[in-house]
Amino acid sequence: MSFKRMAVGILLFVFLYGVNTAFLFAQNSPQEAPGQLFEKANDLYRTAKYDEASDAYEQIARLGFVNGNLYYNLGNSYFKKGEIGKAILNYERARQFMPYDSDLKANLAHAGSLVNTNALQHSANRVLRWFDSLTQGFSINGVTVFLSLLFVCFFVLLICQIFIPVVRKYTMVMASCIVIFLLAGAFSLYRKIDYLNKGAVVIVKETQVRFEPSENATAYFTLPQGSRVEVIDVSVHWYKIKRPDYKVGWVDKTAIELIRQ
Amino acid sequence: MKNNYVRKTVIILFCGFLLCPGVSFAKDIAFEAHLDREKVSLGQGLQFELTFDNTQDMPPLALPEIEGLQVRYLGPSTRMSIVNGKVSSSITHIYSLLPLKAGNYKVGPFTFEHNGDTYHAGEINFEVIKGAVSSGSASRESAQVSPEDISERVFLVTNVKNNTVYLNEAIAFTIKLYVNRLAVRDIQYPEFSHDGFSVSPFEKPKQYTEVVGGINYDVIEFSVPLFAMRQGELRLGPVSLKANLLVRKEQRQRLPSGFDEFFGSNMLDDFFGSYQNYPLDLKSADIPIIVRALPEEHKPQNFTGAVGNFSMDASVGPQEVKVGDPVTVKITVSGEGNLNTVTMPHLGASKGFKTYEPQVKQEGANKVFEQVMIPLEEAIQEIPAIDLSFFDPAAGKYMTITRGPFPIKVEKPDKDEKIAIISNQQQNKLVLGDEPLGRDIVYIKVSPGRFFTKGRFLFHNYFFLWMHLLPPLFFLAIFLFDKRRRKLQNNPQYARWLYAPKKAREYLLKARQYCSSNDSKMFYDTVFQTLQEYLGDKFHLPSQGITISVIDEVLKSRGMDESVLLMIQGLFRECDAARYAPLALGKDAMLHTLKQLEEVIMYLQKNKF
Repeated sequence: MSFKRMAVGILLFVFLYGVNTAFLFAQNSPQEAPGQLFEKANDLYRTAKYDEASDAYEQIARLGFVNGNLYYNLGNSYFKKGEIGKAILNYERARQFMPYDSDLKANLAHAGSLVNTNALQHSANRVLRWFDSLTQGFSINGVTVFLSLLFVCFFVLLICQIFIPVVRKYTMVMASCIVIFLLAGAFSLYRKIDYLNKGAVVIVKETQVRFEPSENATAYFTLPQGSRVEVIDVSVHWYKIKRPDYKVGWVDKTAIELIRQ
Repeated sequence: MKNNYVRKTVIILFCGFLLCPGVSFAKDIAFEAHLDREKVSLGQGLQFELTFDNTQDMPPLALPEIEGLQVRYLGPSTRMSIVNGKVSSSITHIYSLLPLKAGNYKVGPFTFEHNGDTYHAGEINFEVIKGAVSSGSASRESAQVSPEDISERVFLVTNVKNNTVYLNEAIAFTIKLYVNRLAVRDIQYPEFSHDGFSVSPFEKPKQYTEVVGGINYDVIEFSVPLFAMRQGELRLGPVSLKANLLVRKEQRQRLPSGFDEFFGSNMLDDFFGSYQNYPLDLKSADIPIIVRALPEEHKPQNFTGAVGNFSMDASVGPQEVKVGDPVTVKITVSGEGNLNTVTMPHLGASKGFKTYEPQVKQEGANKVFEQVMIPLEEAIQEIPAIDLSFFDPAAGKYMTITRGPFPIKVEKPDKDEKIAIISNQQQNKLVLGDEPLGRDIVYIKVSPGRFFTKGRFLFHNYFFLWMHLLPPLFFLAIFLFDKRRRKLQNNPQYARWLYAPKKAREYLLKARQYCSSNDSKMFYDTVFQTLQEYLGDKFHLPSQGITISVIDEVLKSRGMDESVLLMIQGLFRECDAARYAPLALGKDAMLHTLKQLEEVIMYLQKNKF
């Protein structure tokens, strides 16, 4: 087999891979009635009927259709209703889809500043913060595709070094770089998924975090609405939560809501 | 067992005994002073010892200052001995004494209090003579210091040019170290009290010889520029200078006479370095300085405090500029005096110019000022005159030097060019940081965008995940293919072996065709060629050279089945007969040959040789 034929083969493979990925994306996006509901909810919002608007947006989510815009608008509706905790919760949900969106960033910062929770939204660990910042502007799917492409690039590089002597010279360096990016990206993706699964936001005005899952237990600290926490254990009516500064305690299940629906 | 117990007890008691001797013998402490000699030549050192018996816990005693005697503490020496089970210990504090002039000296008596106890030791007298001490040998005497006071042979002299100075007037303060025939080492920079004076760092010391009163001295001269900062009667000094005096050590223990004669005491002294450093702390008297204020009479308006005798040069460049371009005025002030007091000379009316803070550099006895001026109008024709006013302390009056004005030519700026000189204050006004801005959330998204299934992300998709097996598999396939390709390129034997069945199949097909068309000649030619090529490729032999004899030889040695060997030989014979004898072999014979050939190839394919 000549080099040309090999190159054609590689290109064909990359093309097929791209088509398949695009197909999978398309599969993940059922485009049905939610569009109309969304328009209706927007109309309600425009007429300042925020309760009805939030119900309409919630209805779309209940149907199983979600995206960044939906959660963003839902967050806005709650904000207008004065429920800052729920607004932050939905902005956080929107962040899983469009973390790069500047409007979302602005609204999240503004809502956070009103309830003074911005200081405790990132991990206290510097290294973890650095890892989080690596993929801050990427959604979970974005990081997944990025890692997938890096994975393909790694093997394309290995294939190229068989046929192109110049590439062979730099294979070790380039392969090392790709592996480092792959590992860092994988860890970052893990953190994102972990946050998605365990992340929660305080939706009541203020809640006491206690040493034990009991109403009579000693209060450890107080969380204002909109505070981000990580759920690490569940009791019947209680969540065991961890604050970004690693303080752990038990909180009533009704006081917080998980980011993942 | 009992012996062990006794031994342990003795050891513990002994250790305890060693650890706390001060406690055990506090009451029996004896104190005595001792000097190694009673008579010594000037320039020789003495060793003085204060010994405390029956203790090792005694701090060193600070000896009182004795005029003409320099004292240095060398350190403690402890001793412990056990004689007939009786333990005795002592500590000796050792001091070195260096007489600086001849005469009789008295050290002590000593009274020392420690831990509530008082100790006494008597006085010790010794004599320092200018000549050599009689017990010393002739050679040693010559190496010792000659008979004069040390203070006459090493001393400090301080000097200022003028004892009455003006405020801020530069004063050259010189400190000279005179040394006559003495080895003075490790000379440090002098230290002196200078309250009311501003002192610059020492200049590089000068070294020369000078004859004073008929005696030749080596001189080290330290100069330090300074100026008075307040008026009144100030005192400069006293000056203190630290150095080490190298003195020959007195041999305390004499070697046996024979030994001394054999090696020679000088040789041993020189070899083992019998010189000793004695620290010298030379002092000089302080100098009174009367500082006067600058006169108020005739003080120029632009006088800023410069004191000295200065000259000034000034230059301007470039002399032809456009409006907005910078012009640099370079002013160099040089001369004698206190350059620290010289500030930027006064520039006349600078209306029509934008000026910046001047840059100041001091290079030796010159002080350079660079003033950037930007003409803002075309009408400007000159850089105004520059005045430097200073007080000349030698003349006792104020002086003013003027340079300029300097003519310059200012042209219009280029057509579209605007003067872009904006002050910081103006820039600050443009910053909108202070503007009160409202705060609220950003409006909703109008477009719904693409919806996704709730809770489903790309990493949940198994098809997507399984697809990641493709790149490694693809790579593996290409890798193996490349490996095979390389092997075929580099190993012709393998290549021939590998392609032998394929070629054989092609030939068999041809042979079958010839058989069908009943072309016996071509058929046997093809069969012969098939056998030659196949066997040649299979056993890596030249195909053309394969004959019955070669086959016999090669295949037999590889352990081939006899019947197959016979079959191959038969095939070769049949081919030869058909090709070279004009026998018309029928189709059946050809089919039989073809079958045999296929069997042979099949056999060789199945078995490895």
